[in-house]
Amino acid sequence: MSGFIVCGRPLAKNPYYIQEAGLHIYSEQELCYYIYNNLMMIDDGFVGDRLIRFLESELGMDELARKLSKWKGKMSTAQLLLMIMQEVDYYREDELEEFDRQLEKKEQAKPYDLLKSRADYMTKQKHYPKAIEIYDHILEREGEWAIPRELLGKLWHNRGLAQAGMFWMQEAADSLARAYGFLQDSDILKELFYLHLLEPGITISEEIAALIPAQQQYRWQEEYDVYDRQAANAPQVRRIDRAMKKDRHRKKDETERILTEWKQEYREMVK
Amino acid sequence: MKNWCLGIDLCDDYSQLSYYNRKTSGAEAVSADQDERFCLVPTILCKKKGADEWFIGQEAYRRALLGEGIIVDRLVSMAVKSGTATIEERKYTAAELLERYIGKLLELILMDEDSRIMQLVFTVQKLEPVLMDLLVKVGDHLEISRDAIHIVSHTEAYLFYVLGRSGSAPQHTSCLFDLTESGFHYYEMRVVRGRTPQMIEGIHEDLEESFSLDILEQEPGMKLADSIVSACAQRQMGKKIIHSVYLTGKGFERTDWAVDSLKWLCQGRRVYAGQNLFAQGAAFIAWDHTRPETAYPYICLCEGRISSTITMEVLHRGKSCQLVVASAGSNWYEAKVDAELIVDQEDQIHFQVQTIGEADSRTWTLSLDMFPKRPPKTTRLELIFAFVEENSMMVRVIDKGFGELFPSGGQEIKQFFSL
Repeated sequence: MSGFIVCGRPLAKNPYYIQEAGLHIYSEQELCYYIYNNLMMIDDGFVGDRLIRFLESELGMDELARKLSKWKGKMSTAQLLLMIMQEVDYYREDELEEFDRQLEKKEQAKPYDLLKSRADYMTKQKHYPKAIEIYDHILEREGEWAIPRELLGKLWHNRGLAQAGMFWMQEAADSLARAYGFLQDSDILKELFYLHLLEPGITISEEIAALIPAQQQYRWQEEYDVYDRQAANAPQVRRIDRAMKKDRHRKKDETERILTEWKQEYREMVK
Repeated sequence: MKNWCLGIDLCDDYSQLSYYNRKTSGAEAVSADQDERFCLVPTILCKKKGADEWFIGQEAYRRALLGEGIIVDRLVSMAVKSGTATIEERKYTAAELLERYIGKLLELILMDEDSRIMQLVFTVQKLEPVLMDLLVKVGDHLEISRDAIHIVSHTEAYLFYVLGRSGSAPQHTSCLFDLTESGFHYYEMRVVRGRTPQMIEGIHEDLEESFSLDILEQEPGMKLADSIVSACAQRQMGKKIIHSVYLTGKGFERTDWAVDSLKWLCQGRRVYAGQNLFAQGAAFIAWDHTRPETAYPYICLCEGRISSTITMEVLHRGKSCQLVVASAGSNWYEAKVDAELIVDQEDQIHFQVQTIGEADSRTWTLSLDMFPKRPPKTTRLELIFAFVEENSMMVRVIDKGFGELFPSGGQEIKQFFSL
């Protein structure tokens, strides 16, 4: 069986924007991939008129658009999603069966599971403030929703990672310390240790610090140094080095370009 | 509105123009002179001194003889070498000169504003990529759409001359001798039996025994030429069963010198001598391009046509099938395929190459190692297939990424495969 799937349609000129994910979709395959891998993120309004118009006018999938229009409101979102997945020549039969099982699992999922998936996705996409907002929203309802301890630990942990992404190092350290309290996972201690190496000014409680023996600290320090050296050789760093070696005018142009890109990246992150 | 389907035989010494006549369903020669028998137009340009006025063919010679202009010749050779010519202190590229020449040649037929070129087929002795690119550019400058321009070999034009005149695939082998100032060429058209669709093969041989046509002016030279042609004909045709023989080129404008040759050739065969054969073959091809379905549903194998079918296995609507990258018998210059594919756990592309006449197929492999590693089905590739020469296929693979989910790094692989 070949591993090359023919793309019968060109990419959309005007992409479909998924607001929850901050993502533009250009093809039916991208749409299927997003649905398949982010099922928990998808709410009942996902298969709406805007998506149907996109499928029809941008991708020329008239038949699918007609079917979705006909059944929207009469079928469940899960059935409509399955209709899309079956229509697009992308996933194999066995993958679609697995998708069907995931749909069933989603039906039984708790509201905090769905919200956590959304926040995790936001973290993955580097939309950290939005992710932190959702983690906070869930943690505020801890008692009301009777969230299991293990999940609470994961929520605090992922919140800490999102905060680190924003360079809110002290807040990140506090969240990770809370997560350790629930999960007792040594990997979290390692993350805390790395955070301390990145930003020596942060305060870590003495109880937590006492949990990391000197020998362990030494090993982690060695690992950290390896990562540090790798980072110093990353393409982004090399690009800056190259820019600095250019003549005055070119250096100015290139640094302006890099700064504009960083600003753009930051705006994307916080929007 | 007159819509012309034209054929131009472009050679270094003489060029010829022909058009397809819908009323007679045949191709007809266009003459540059009032005497319609003279359809050979010398491939020369003459620029009028001190003016931007240009002449071609016999008129160009006349102007030069009167001292009114400056002549440039060997335009095709100049184009192949990407050469230039300086006239009155201005340097002209071969493309500029060829554009002027072809423009003037086309004026012989496009005499009113109502005339339009539907299809234009050039036929040349040798398919040099430089010349082919240049002819397409000349077409652009003359505002002829790229889809309307085709370039074929003399061999192919000969096949289509025979096919166009007979209206169907001939049952027997025929051959052609082309005698010009620049060479002596032998062509043979064979019908390969027992294949569907029917296959027609065109063979071309550049004969070593070429001679200057000046020798035909004197009696001893005529005898020598006759003996050369006769010997070549007997060697090439030997005991083959050939029913028709065509003679063309400036050398066969007269045949009174070829007494012995004709005597031998005419034994049990029909012999036709005349000009404009390649141009008319090109005109038949031009007309065929305007039809929704070809009038010649044969696989033609000859110079300028690909000898192999190249495919790759793909998935379409969940089923395995073959994507045809190049078909045997198609024009290599026009064989361009563009496809977009999504990669699912593959790090190589395999192409199957099936050459006509060979029992076993070959496999070409293209590695995708230099592309970024991504999860399955999250790499969209654009594959562009084109031939840079008759036996050399270029594959360009462009990483298109997977939208914003997995953006492309812009990597591209270019690989050449030899047939």
